[in-house]
Amino acid sequence: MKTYLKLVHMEIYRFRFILLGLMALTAVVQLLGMQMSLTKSLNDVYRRMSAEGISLSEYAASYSKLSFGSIHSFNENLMTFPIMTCIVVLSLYIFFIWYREWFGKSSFVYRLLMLPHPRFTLYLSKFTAIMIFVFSLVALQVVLIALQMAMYRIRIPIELREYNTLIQTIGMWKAVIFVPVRLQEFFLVYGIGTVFVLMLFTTVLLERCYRFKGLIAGLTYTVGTVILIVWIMMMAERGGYFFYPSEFLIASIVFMLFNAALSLWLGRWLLRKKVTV
Amino acid sequence: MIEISDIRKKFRRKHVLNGVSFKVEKGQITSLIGLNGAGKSTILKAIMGLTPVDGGSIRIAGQPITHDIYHTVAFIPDRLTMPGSMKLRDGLQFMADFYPRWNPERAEDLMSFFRLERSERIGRLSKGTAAKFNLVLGMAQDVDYVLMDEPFSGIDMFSRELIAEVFTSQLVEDRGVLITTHEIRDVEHLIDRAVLLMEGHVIKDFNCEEMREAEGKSVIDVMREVYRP
Repeated sequence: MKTYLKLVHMEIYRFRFILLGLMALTAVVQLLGMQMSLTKSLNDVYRRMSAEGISLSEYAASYSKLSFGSIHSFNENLMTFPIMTCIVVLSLYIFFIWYREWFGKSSFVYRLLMLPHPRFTLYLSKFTAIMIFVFSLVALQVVLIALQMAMYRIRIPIELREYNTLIQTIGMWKAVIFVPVRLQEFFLVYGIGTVFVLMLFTTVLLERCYRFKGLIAGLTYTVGTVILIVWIMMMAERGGYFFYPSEFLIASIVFMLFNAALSLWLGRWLLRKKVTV
Repeated sequence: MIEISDIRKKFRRKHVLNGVSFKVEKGQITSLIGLNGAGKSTILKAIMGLTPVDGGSIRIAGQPITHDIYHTVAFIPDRLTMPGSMKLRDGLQFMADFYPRWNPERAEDLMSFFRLERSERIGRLSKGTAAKFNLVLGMAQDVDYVLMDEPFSGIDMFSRELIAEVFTSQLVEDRGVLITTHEIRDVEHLIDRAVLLMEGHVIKDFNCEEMREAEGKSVIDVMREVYRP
């Protein structure tokens, strides 16, 4: 356990600059974007007020209010861009977190494989690190939305505000899939994501053990799973088949749990018996 | 004792190891000798579980290879396998953190013996300095066996002398050492046993002193007979 925690700490430490960079990018872009949207929306209101010679309360009575959701989605691309950047960087790091040990001048993999502890600990620690990166970014996203709501309250006059809770606000956002509000959605989205991380980890190890053949096998399996899951989800959504949507859901959950177990078992076996430096 | 029996390995279609067997005893320095590409490094990696073999068995003190052997055997590869961004100090800390058999006092002694600076970055070390630090990482573990892959290659004369001194010190005394080299002159006077490899086989396995007494031949004489008949 101590070794595992030390390894997790090491992985986080090695990624700290990139993680902090991603966090800073997300915070700066989203907060600035919010500031720009607020200014733009208020300017529109004031322009119309002076054109029609009406007061704030008259404006509020005759026009729609400025809801947080509408202002937030004003610069939709600006809000989504940092999220996409984080996803791309973390997706690449799923591979790089392993390959960095083999390539480069240091071949750190020798040392890591010779630690006097089960090698599976290494696998688990890298996996944990990736999950910590993902969830720290998700947590930051929630904090940022709360901050944006505070900005909204500070800048928009009370007559024009439309109140939403944090949860409602998140729910209104198109990029909501990354911060699912309902518990079962959260588990579904991140559960499936987690299993794909495991499958990609095992694909990397297959490549390391069997080179090109392993890579092809791993990728075929992972891509096949993606296609199957997407197909199941589409069937569940369209409905009208022999099975109920909930049955499709259960089928996909069982299938993903099976994949997770297979990936973990295979990853452990490869690290113990087949991996080569 | 490390027992290697009948191990085989092929890369693509080429048989690199074709049934190699020998033993490494405690308290002896055994040298694995062979021309380039003879499979010396592969054997060391196989003993350390860093590459799978296609057949045969490797046992360390009677046990098969699991992660437990790293309490008993240390490996000094032909390169320094620590991230270049670490400082030497961090490298020592890493070893102390993860290796229960790490001996900080011995590490201290070796660091000052080699005059290594803790604040230097591993990525900036010269080849000779990196080799010395590599030796510190391996030798400061309280283990029964140490495997070294080409510890003298590409290193200047005085550094070689320092490294050779480590072999004659009490650091090695009771341990079993397996060393590969193609520059036999550096270790000839140190080794107890020589294992000569050719084309994936052990072609000669002898005790150096007995060879000298019985046939009056040095290791180099035997090598000449074997490799340049």
